[in-house]
Amino acid sequence: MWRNIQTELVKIFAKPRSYIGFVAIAIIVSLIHVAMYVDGLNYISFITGPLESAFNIEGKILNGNLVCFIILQTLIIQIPLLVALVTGDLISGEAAMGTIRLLMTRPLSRTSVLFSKFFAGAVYVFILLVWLGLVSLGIGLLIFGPGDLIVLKSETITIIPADDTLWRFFAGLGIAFISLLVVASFSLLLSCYSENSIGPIISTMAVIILFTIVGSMDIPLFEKIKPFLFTTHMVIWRNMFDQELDYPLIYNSIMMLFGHIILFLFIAWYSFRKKDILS
Amino acid sequence: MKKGSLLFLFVWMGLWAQGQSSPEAIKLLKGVTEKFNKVRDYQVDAVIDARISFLKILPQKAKVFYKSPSKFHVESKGIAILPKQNFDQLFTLLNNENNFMAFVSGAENLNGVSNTIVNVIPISDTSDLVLAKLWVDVAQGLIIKSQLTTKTNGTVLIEYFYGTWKTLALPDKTIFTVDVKRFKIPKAISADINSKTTQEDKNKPQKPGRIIISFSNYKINKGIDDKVFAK
Repeated sequence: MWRNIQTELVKIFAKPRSYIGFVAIAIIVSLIHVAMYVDGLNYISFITGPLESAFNIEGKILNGNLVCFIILQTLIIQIPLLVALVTGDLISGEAAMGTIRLLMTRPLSRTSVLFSKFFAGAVYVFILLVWLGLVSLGIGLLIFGPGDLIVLKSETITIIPADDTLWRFFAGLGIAFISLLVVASFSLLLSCYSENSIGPIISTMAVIILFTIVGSMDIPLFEKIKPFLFTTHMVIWRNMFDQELDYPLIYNSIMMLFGHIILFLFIAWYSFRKKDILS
Repeated sequence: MKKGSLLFLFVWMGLWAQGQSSPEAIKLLKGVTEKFNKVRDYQVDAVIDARISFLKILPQKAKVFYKSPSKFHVESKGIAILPKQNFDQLFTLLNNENNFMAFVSGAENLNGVSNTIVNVIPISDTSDLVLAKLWVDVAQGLIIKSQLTTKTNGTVLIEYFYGTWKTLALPDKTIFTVDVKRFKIPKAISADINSKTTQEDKNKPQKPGRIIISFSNYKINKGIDDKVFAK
């Protein structure tokens, strides 16, 4: 299995499109760092404005932790596209190039092939998130230094002490990893039904956008379906930045994410076992 | 705000008719300022505990620096939320009799201590302060409570609790009570799509914000470099 995963990783990293995510993250993070360095105080006055109308705020507001949080908040929405670019191509790419028939002539079960591709995709997602953490938090702290983190929610502002932030970032990135595995398994599932890569990639993004819109609208009808949408639970990483953590809520969301991964992988496995590779 | 302006107008007209401050009020305020005027400078450790409905923040340690007549600086390692009013602002105003008009408007018993209520109105029309209502403990010559009506920040209630340094009118604890508006920004901006606001939440009256500042380890009249205030 490990050899298969290695082979799949070699295939992933041999494709130029796999580097789009790393380059995109580096460019976006660098742009945000430069913008924050030049005019960050003006930008964050938007965050502190309502508070400053009634109170004085003392201390270093613009710091590496805040800049990293702003970057994560901005990028976590876009990263599923970067993940789907790679994982949506895992089966359909082989089908499009005709290599899937060659692959199946090897003495490997279809189950082994599918799960090797999924785990290779998971390794890719992990490396992508490590890169994101490194450039956003690591370089952010180098440029702006440490400081208390202001977390903006729609009706509250939470201020977390600087020495209490690092583990929260790690935990947040850990939950983001599980969330992106949902995206990877979903695009892998769609990939099993497609003969080209564009379909699964676009469909994955379309579903994420649709679910996100449904999730952000306060309409009673949508309230009933929200708990079942994986996008509702994908943003639970932000709850790691509450002053008092709501452990049951976080646990429930993580379980829902794992449930989605298992469901998507099961459907993908079922369809891939029966997939006609001769057409 | 309108109420404050109207009150100011009536009180000012009354005093204008009299032409001067009440001698009793001036005598009381002199007793209060005399104590604080012995302080040329001080440095004190503070713990700032902001209790505001929409803000979740742990108590923050800070250092407060003051140098007469009006230099003031707060230094904290992390982010601290402070009231708009400096702790010394009132004394700066009260130090010059020509800056304000004052009169006694009554008496009130607070925690078993009889207090005289003094109303102070700044003469300058550019002053942010419209009216200061002071509860003065005559026996000890200390301001126990003050209600400041300002042009820009509404009304602020300040309660003073004295201990070790009451001889210099330096409090051990100060509680600021400030009116705050409801905080709300669109979910799309905060990326907070899971938050829910019920009708019950929307109808709840907004509680005033309280900032409790506890002071300890006063270092008085030891001299403070001006560079501290330039930070």
